[in-house]
Amino acid sequence: MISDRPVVFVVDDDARIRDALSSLLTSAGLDVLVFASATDFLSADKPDAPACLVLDLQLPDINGLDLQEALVEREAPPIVFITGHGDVPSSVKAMKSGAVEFLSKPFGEDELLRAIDAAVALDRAARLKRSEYAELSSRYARLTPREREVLPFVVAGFANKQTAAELGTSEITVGVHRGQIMRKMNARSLAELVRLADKLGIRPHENH
Amino acid sequence: MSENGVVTTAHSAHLLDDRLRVVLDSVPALMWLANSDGAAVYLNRQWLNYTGLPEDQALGWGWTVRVHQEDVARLTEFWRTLLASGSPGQIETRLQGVDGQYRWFLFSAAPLRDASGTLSGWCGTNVDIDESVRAREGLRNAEHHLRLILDTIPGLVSTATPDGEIEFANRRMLDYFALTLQGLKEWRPVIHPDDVSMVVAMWRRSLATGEPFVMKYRIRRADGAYRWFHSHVVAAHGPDGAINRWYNLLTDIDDRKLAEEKLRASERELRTIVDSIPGLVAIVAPSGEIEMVNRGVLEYFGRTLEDLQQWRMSDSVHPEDLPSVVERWQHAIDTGGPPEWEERLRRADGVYRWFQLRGYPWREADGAIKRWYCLITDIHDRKMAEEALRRSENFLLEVQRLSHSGGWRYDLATDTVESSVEVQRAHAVQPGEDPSRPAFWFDRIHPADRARVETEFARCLHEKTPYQAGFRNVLPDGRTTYQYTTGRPILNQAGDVVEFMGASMDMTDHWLATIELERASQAVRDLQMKMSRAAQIASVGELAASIAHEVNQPLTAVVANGYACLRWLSASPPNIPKAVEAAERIVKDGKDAGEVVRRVRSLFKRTVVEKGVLDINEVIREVMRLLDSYPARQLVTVEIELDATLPHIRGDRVQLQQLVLNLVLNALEALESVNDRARRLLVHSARGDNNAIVIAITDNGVGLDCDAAFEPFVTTKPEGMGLGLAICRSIVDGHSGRLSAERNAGFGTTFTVMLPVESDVSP
Repeated sequence: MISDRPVVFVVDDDARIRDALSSLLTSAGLDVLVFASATDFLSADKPDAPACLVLDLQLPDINGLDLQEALVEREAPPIVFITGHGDVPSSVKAMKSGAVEFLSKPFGEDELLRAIDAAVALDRAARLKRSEYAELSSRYARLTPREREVLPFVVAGFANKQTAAELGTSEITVGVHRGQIMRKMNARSLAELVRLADKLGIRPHENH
Repeated sequence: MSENGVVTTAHSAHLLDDRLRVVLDSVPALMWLANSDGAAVYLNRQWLNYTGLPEDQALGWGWTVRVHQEDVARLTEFWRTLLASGSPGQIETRLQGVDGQYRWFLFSAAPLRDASGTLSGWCGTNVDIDESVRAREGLRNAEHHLRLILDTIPGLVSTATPDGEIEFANRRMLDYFALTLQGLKEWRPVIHPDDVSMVVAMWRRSLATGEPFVMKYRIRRADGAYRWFHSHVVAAHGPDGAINRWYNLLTDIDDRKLAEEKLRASERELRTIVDSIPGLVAIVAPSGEIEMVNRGVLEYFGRTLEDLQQWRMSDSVHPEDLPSVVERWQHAIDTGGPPEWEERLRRADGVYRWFQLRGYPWREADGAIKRWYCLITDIHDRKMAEEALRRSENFLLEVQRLSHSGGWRYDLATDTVESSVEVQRAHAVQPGEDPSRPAFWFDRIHPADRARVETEFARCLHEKTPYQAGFRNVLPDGRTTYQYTTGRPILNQAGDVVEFMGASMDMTDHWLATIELERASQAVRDLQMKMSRAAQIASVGELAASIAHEVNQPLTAVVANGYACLRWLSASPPNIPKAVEAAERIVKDGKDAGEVVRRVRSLFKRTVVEKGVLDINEVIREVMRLLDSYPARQLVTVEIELDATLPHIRGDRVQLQQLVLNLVLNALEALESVNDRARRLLVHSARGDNNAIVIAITDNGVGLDCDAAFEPFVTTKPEGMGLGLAICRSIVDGHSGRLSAERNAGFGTTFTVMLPVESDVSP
């Protein structure tokens, strides 16, 4: 299910907190999924949507900070920590590791919703970036090996003639490759092709 | 006389008429004429030519100058005999020729008589017989030589006529029997009575057939001793083929015969020995064929030698062993390497038993193997015993492996350790390490345990007492294992320890389980302690934190539900059911929080304060004992100085214990983060002013803000809520005392409790 409607994951071992947050966030127009433990959260199927994780710092199975570390590798949504013990070292650590906010219980409605909005926005951007890259990658995957060889010359501004000389082929062939590259990469102009290549991390060929 | 003779001879010669002279001079022989006295009157030309003497010198007796000096006397005697007898005669003499060489001549002289028979003179010839004389002499020399040989050879030689009569015996033979040739002709008595009939028979047969014969018999020496001789009799045949002589050579073989008999005897003896060997012996040809076996072999197999020689085709060797035995024999034959192997051989009753075959090649001088001597030893029982031993060893090993245990032995004299496989495995002996060194075993021990174990072992060695120890080992791969080992000293008759024998068991699993158990029970103890603290003191920071959490959770839920409720109500259209749900949750969560508060309050508010007479020093000692196993206590140097003369006071023992415990824990916590100095804690009791008792608890920890210290929820501790000191104060207040805190001059804080002594309390 691909949706742009944001979803909030709440992980807290206290049912009272889960129920209250679920009600509050639903009333604010957000989709909410609650989990009693980190394990439940990790093993659950989650919708493919911009998301945010509201995470209790003291979970019975995994410490929230450890879960945060474990999630770094997984394209997991940004985290808003909530805690009963607002101790400084934990909050510093959580923020350093990329937490969006660190809220001490009890917290205000505005604090929480602002933090969730910010987190969802971050996730949305990250997702866009990921999907753009995926799209570009699939375009790039359609290029033949020869076209991939030619691409760095094109984006470096080489004339067909120069490129042909460098690659030991004819000017006409390079011209054909160039047309194919533009078409397959869906680039309307050279400037756009340069921008797409840059996003793909392709370095222009350096003249020497 | 010679002068006279010459005259006479010349006169006589003159008498020959010229015709006769011509004839005589022409005869191809040496001739002469002499007068009746024997003086030469004529010597023919041949004579004169041979001697080269002029006639005038030769006539008369002048010719004798040519006679060999050695023959002169004989010749003179000859002439004297002739002249006396007037008969003819012959003599052999040597005459010197013109060339100076002497040759033998037969000197023949005959008397000349006239018609009346009167001797008128002599005539004669000198015939050259030199060659025949020399031949004769040569023959004589040869015969002499032969006889010498015959007499010298180390054998007895005799010859006999064709009909068997002894005609010659050499000197040795005659000497041997001390008989003359004549005496020897009857030879039967010298033959040993046991042999004589056979010798006679043989001799007769040979005489009849002409065949030679060879035999051995005993003959009697001159001293009566019989000795063995070898007799070889052959016939010599003449040109016509007839036997002309028998020859017999007797050789003394007595010594050889004796030696032979000895050899036979020793062979018999050897055979007896070989047959008596309590093993099986076989002699095998270089080709691998059995040549001979001793009786033991025949009896064991119950087969004949001929059968046994077919062993490759039979079941004498166990069918399972046969192929390899055949192959090994072939290998031994090919390489000459001594055969040695074990094989099962079939006994007469069909039972196969294990044997060890060991062969030894006997070589000729040139190195070629002449035969193999094989000793086949019954090792069945030994092998079975070995098998049983191996099984029992395997069993033991398996038991050791399963039980993770093994044995060890420490020998004092050599300072070495023997150890079983399992013990070595448990200690992970690495290549290059030498587990026979005692140091190897101590080096494995965990540094924290080593000194204790070494000391204990040394003590047991010294006191000759059984040794037992449990300790950790650190293996090369870093694993820590736990060994339990016991041993006992083995003493010699003098009572000295000769060795230590022991068993070692790997108790790692047990140890880990124990640790786990201890950890669990420690956790239980901790929990119990916490619970007692919570129940009795209700003051420790953790409890405060827990209370805060307990209150905070429902509070958070209440707040969130409140917001939710508001939102559901303010939505358009308002979602009343949802708002109601939220409001209900608020009520419920609010009650939860209220319940927590109620519980905490009941905790603080003890129902009855039970005051009794007590010794405050005892209270302090009880608390300190309680803390002995408390981890933070281990890291702190605690000094307790109690005034033994303090009067008893009236108070609630449990509350006062809580008070002291709380203050001490507080001090220990204040010391926890101290790393730059020794952590010190002083618990001190003394008499104070106004008949009061003073308890002072001093630490050199982080210190605190003494003014705020007794306010609830003020804390320097990350996990505390600051309730502890507030409770302490309430207890002290309940005892009409005073609690104060002061910063020390150096580090840390001193808490002082002043408790009044009531007048009606007697010490």
